[in-house]
Amino acid sequence: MTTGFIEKAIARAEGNEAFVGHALLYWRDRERLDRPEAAKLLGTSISGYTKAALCLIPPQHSAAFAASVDRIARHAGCDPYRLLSVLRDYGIERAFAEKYGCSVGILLAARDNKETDKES
Amino acid sequence: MPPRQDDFIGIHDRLLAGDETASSSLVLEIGPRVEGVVASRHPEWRGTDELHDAVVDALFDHIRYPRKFNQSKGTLLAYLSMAANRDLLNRMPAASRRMNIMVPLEEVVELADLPRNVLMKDDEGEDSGRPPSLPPELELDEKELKVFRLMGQGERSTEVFADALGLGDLPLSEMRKEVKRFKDRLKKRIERSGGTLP
Repeated sequence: MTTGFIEKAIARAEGNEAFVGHALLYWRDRERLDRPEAAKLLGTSISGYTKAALCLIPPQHSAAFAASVDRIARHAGCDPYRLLSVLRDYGIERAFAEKYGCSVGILLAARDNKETDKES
Repeated sequence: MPPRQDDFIGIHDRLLAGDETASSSLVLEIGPRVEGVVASRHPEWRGTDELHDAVVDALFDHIRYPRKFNQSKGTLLAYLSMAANRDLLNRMPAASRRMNIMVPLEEVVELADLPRNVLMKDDEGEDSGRPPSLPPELELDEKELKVFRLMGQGERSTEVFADALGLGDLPLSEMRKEVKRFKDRLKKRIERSGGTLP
């Protein structure tokens, strides 16, 4: 098993917004999940998570979006509805961030501030 | 001679067809094979970050620019192995690179099981007939190394070079000028220091 090589590939996908890995990392940050927890919520194994992370994100506005997500879910052995939800949320928040000229990270920070306000 | 079987051409075809899962298959199915080929060529680098990075770079470049691969010139495994090998050579410290760069590239071809004449023609270079090399004393920065690698891969697209240089936002005419200026300057530096141009 070439763990080092695959880890690097996942990290590369997580850093590139064309990849599902980027959306999954965004989701994990938002929900504060580690990779095994995220894999479990997606209904798959770590290996399935890796397979999904290395896929490309289908165009959000295409008519084939749901079918493409289904293909990715089958490839990764994960729950298609959960994956669809993760990718849709990511797409919406990214579009919002682009429209208002802020990064997705800023949206996360705003969410965190809001939660802190609630707690205090 | 019967046509050479390319076991992985199906993945490449899926990539070209826009199948979102093809990138995953490429990395997970071909990646370890590419790593094996490059590691057998450079056993002292086996399991290192540099080798892993070189393999990942080759794979992700192919995901981004799949049309650069020409099936008539050899197998996808050989193409990716050559790209990773070149990348690794450029990552090597100067002394190590001097030892490795002069090894004829046909050895890599044999490992990848490619028709020797096809790859030799591709990699010898049109002008010098020698493989590209960087003198050990020549220190290149990250952008220069990227451009050197792209030139070595036979890349001709201005956009690809501009992307490597972070000039992707410039108008095309300006982009062409800047890329040409950068490449000319790099070529002069390599020539002056006794290196061989890609």
